[in-house]
Amino acid sequence: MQLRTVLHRRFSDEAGTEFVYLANSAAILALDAPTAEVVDAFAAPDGLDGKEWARTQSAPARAEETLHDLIDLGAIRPVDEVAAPRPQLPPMPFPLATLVLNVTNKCNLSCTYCYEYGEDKIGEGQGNNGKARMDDKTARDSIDFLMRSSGDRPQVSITFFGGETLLNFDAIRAATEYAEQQAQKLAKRVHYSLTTNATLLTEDIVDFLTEHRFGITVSIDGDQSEQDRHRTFKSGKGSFDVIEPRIRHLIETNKQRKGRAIGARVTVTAGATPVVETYRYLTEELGFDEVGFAPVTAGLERDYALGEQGYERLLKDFGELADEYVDAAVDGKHHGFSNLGDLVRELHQGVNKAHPCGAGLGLLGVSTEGELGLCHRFVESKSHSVGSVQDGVDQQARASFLEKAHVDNKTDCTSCFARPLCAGGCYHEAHVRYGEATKANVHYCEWIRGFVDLGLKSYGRIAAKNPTFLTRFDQS
Amino acid sequence: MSDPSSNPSDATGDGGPRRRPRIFACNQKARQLAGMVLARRGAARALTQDPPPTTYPYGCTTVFAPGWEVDSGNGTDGL
Repeated sequence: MQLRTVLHRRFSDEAGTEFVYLANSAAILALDAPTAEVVDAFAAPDGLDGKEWARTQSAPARAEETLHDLIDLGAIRPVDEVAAPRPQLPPMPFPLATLVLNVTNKCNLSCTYCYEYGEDKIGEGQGNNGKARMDDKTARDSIDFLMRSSGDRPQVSITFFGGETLLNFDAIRAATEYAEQQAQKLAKRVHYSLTTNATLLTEDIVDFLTEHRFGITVSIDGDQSEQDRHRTFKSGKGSFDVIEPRIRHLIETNKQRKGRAIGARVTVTAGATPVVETYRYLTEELGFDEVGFAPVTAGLERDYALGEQGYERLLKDFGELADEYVDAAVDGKHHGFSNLGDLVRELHQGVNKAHPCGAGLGLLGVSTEGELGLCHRFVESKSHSVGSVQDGVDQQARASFLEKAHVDNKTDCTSCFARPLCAGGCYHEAHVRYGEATKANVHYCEWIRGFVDLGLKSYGRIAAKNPTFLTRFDQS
Repeated sequence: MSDPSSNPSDATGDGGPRRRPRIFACNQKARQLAGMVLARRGAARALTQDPPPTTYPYGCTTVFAPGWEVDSGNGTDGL
């Protein structure tokens, strides 16, 4: 029988341990040298005849045994085997896990690269669509909708988003207090989180957020020069001087109260300070627990867009931070490079995604007027509406989108080893780039594969030196 | 590397002296697959496979979203 190694990625650590990541299952196997050679030999485009190959080996019985182990584990399969079809959708209606409330579509900053206010805005027309602020009733309706749509999940998450979220703190307070009451009645736990630019953090607000154990992400690009390059007020004045004391107060209060980790979200633009320096500043100088870096999403024609060289440099910088992450993991310590932390967790669990993210599945966004979108980035796009918090989910629209967005329908992803993790990438990005949210984001394939490679190598190094570290990511 | 004797993929099944495993299941998915293989071998060696379990993510994509506004733990504290 003609056999061939399935779609995979081979990698090794510095000690020479060989690994293979199998794209059909997202399994990671460590291999001894002879077994690695078998995997490589059968990776030939036309495969090999299994019996014939075994007969030519120095220890045929042992070779055949190895081959059968690899066949059973799904690493090597018949060339003409048709993959078993995967379900296009999970059993519907899929219970909600997260509701993102866009409590305002206004912002007091005017960041040059913002998708909400720039050319990437996808609502009908430019600028501010719909009501500027979510009223308290819509906020409470949203909580009711989440509770009744979350099935028997013991925990749900509410994320507040904007615009600048804290421009409508009234709605955040109303929603949180109402959610507490409802959760108690229904015996559910609620996890709150928000993203803010930190300009409006006051003592009262910090007190409220830390009391309710909010997961807080601050959008910040780094030190003063980095922050003030793009994150400016409408007047053009930089925002660093306003946010710095407020962030210090937030982090200090949160530490005293033993709150959840506070993260910084950095948008990486062309010409930015190397991420290692920015990471260092945000964790050591300002005290953030986690830092996540997001390449700016913009067309190549913008002067702040990351070109090919920008992505290459970013990947190199990520490599430096990854070395630090691995060193910390080998010592059993936490490291706050959240991009890699998330990737290592997904690799460890063997995540094999049918869809790139939870948008439309476990996560929905709510507009200021209560309309439901696939996620917070689509809430003001009528063509991506999937109902309202008052009338519920338009299940037909939801299912129709999800079927089309399934990774098996993205032919560009068919031969990519990173598909279990990427599944075509962000819907919003695809919509902006190609006018169709269900298309694969082929413009960043190389970046994705480079980053997954980095993750695999980091995972292998940790697995070889301190596998106990990885058990923190075990999923029951 | 971990003690291979605790690894279900050390499925030589020959009853002989234990040797270094040729294949070591590193992540959770690999361990699940190895467990399935061992269970099947209790009766007969299977030549076909069920489709691997599919993951339906709950939050924003954790690794590749340009935004990372929401993480896969359904919040933002993992960012």
